Amino acid sequence: MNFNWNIRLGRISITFGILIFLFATLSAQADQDRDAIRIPLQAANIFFDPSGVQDTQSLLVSRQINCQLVRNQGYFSELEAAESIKYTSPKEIVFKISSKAKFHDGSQVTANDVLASFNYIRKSRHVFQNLFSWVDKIKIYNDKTIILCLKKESPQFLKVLSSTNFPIFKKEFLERAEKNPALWKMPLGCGGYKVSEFTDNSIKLQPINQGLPIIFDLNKTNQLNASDMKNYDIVSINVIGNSKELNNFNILNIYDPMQYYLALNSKSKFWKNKYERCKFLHDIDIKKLLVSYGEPAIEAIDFFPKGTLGYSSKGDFNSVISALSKKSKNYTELTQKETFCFAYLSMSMQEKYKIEYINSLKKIYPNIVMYPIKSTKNFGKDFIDSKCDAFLFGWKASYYDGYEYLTMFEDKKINFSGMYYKSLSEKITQSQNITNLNKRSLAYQTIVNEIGSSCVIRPLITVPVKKVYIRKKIIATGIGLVPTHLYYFGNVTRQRL
Amino acid sequence: MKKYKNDKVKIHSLIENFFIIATLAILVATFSIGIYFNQYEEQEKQKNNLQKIHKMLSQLIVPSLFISDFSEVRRLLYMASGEEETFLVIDREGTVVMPDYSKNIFSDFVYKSVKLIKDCENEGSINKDISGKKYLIYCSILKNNDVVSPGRKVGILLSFTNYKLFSFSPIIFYFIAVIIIFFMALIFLFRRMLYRKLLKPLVTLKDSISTISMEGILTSSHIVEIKDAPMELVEIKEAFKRLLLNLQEEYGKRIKAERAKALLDLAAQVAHDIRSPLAAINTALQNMASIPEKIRVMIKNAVRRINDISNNLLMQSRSNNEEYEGNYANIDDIFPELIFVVLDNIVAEKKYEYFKKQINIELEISDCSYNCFSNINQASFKRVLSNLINNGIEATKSGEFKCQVQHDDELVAK
Repeated sequence: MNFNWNIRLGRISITFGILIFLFATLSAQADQDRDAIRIPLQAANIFFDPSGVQDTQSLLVSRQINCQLVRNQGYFSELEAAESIKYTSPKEIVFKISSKAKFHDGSQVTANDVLASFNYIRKSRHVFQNLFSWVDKIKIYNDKTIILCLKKESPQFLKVLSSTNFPIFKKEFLERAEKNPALWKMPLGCGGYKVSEFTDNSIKLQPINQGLPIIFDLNKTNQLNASDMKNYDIVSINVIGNSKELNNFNILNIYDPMQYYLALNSKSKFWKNKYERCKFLHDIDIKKLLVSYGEPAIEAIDFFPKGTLGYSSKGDFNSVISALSKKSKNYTELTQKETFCFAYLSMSMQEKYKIEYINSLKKIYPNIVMYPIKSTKNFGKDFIDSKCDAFLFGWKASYYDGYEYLTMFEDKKINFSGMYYKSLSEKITQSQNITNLNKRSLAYQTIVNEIGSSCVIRPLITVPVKKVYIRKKIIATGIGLVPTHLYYFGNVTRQRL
Repeated sequence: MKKYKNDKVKIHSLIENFFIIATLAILVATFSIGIYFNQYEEQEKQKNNLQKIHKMLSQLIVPSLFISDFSEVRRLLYMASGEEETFLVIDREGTVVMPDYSKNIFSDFVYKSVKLIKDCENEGSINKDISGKKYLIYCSILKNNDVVSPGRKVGILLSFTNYKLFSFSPIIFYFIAVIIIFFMALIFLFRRMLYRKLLKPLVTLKDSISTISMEGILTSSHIVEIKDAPMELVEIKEAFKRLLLNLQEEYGKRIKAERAKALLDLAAQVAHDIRSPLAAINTALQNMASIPEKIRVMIKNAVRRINDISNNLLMQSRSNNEEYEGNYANIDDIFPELIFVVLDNIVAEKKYEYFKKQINIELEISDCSYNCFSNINQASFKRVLSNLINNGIEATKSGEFKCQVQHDDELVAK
């Protein structure tokens, strides 16, 4: 009898102990989640692989988990993984890697990792290749020192290197991820955060040394009801409706222009030549669309949004299209019968605007079908593969240089129009060797005019500012200095009463 | 000695208070004036500085703004901005370019203040309240200066500077510090001078007078010598010294008079007291027939002589008293006096006066006149009678003089 009771007591004690452990673990998790910064993300397909075109929301998360040699913090570059940067000559730059720079597994960042990361980006990414066009060779001096030799003096080299496009990953990780791309869900970066959980609904980031945990909620509708703001601390996606909850937020209007483009499939049956494309692009009425977007959206008059090096306020780009459109005949009967496939990049399209886009196009092609493209990584290829006729996407820059827009025409592999002009690509690449800003701006305008005359793309709308809602109890120092997707949350704190 | 209440303020406290108040008043006045001029100066300086910064920044910004390089524009604005100042640019289309968009109060202000932007055509500064804080807003027009489109307006440069109600330049602190040190030194010197030249002599004089007054009797008229005393204090000291000497003199006289009076009073008492025994001896002598005539006359003369001496003492005492209180006697004060006593006194006096001239002065009084009273002023009566006796003695050659007292129902005379 006593023996049985002892066994029973033992079992009860073990069960009780397990329950206490579980309760403590869950409580700790709950506390952590309560302290965490909650941010909704406007994305259904977040990815951290820098080989593709990363959308702003992927960049926002990547910014937290990745480190670079040097980072652009608005108006100054800050050393991150690099301990020092030294120009030993105008064409040779020595980077010494900091011993404090460590990957999330605790191993130190080495020159080999930096070289492997550069090589991976050079090999796999088809945009933002300007940096590699300047680099002649990369030499490893020792485990902690790497030397970049340039082909010629490039004043904007560090500016471009410090943009958000050159993260460092562990060499072994890159090798494993090449074989198993699923590993990119939890990349082995060297940033202040690491991915602790990645589900279809959220991404949880855990700070390595300091900072609050971050929970990114993936919002598939690309918009948030004002009443749902109570769940979040920092919101940079579009908020619809009104709510008293908004009174708990500071609203910043950060100049971070997003330009929406309508690109055409040159192989589409709807147009036989470029003049017909020009006519179509010219005839798109965006007045109602503008009304729908409301302030501060404006009609895009140039290929670049205002504030970007190369922008022309004269509206030359649309003038070129307009002039060429006059050479086209009227629309044929085909327009009335055939279905016009309108593809759009999911994250560039809010639900509420879809109908306005359809209405704008319906005036020309009454039978419209919409086709969403979810991935930004290979959006050009996805569009061509979809055999759709037109494609809507948004594009924004990180250091406001026209090249960041022109890069979409630089490589054949990301081309979305079905047409590729080698000379144009070369001009774009060569423009990066122009050190004088005025001359480079003029070169960009020349390239833009050439793009305009091909009538494969038209900028429709520019939203110059990004509205960011920050809960009043959140202290986010320096958040107004950089676009939100470049902001590091490691220094964000929460005010306690 | 009368003690003063403690709430009476001492002169040195008064002077100290005066100095403290005067110093504070001067300091406050200096400080206020300093602040006013400093404020004016600082504001002018701030405006001039802003003007210079705007001019320089414009030259840097315009080329970048012209080619729409907002990245560079923001970098320049960021470099020019600081904790106290924020610079922003509004381009021709009204886009606000600023270094830090978290300072949204300024961009919101710009969006709401279209008129301000229009007013900016006239370059200058204004003070405005933005979100409860006062700012000095300075605006300047950004103009393109290249050869293609010279003077073309490309935007507006605005700066928001924290408006300080009291903006101090370091020089004001030096100025105030110097003023304070100067005043402190001045006060120290002035106080020292005042202490040595006025307060110390005054206190010494006060102590000296207090000591003298505390002694109770005016034995000493010595007031200590006061060094470095001002003229007025020396005069006060001398006047007090004179007053003290006068008081001492008067006091001495009074003491002397008091002593003399006491002596006379004693003599009068003796004279008065020996009268009765003398009268008894006289009466006894008349009945002592057994004593030889010669001896009896000798005793009688001796008794008379003692009687005369006592009368003289008594008279002197009275006249002395009268003299002492004479100022207070009135000629109209007439009282009934025993006439025998008055005459006896005056005769005794005369006997004593003419004793050496061998003049025998006799007083004969009828038996019934011993009790006679007359309404007389005693002093005047004695003076008149004395003169009459003197005149009579001068007129007689025999050496005998006799006074007789008789009376009727109304008068007593001879």
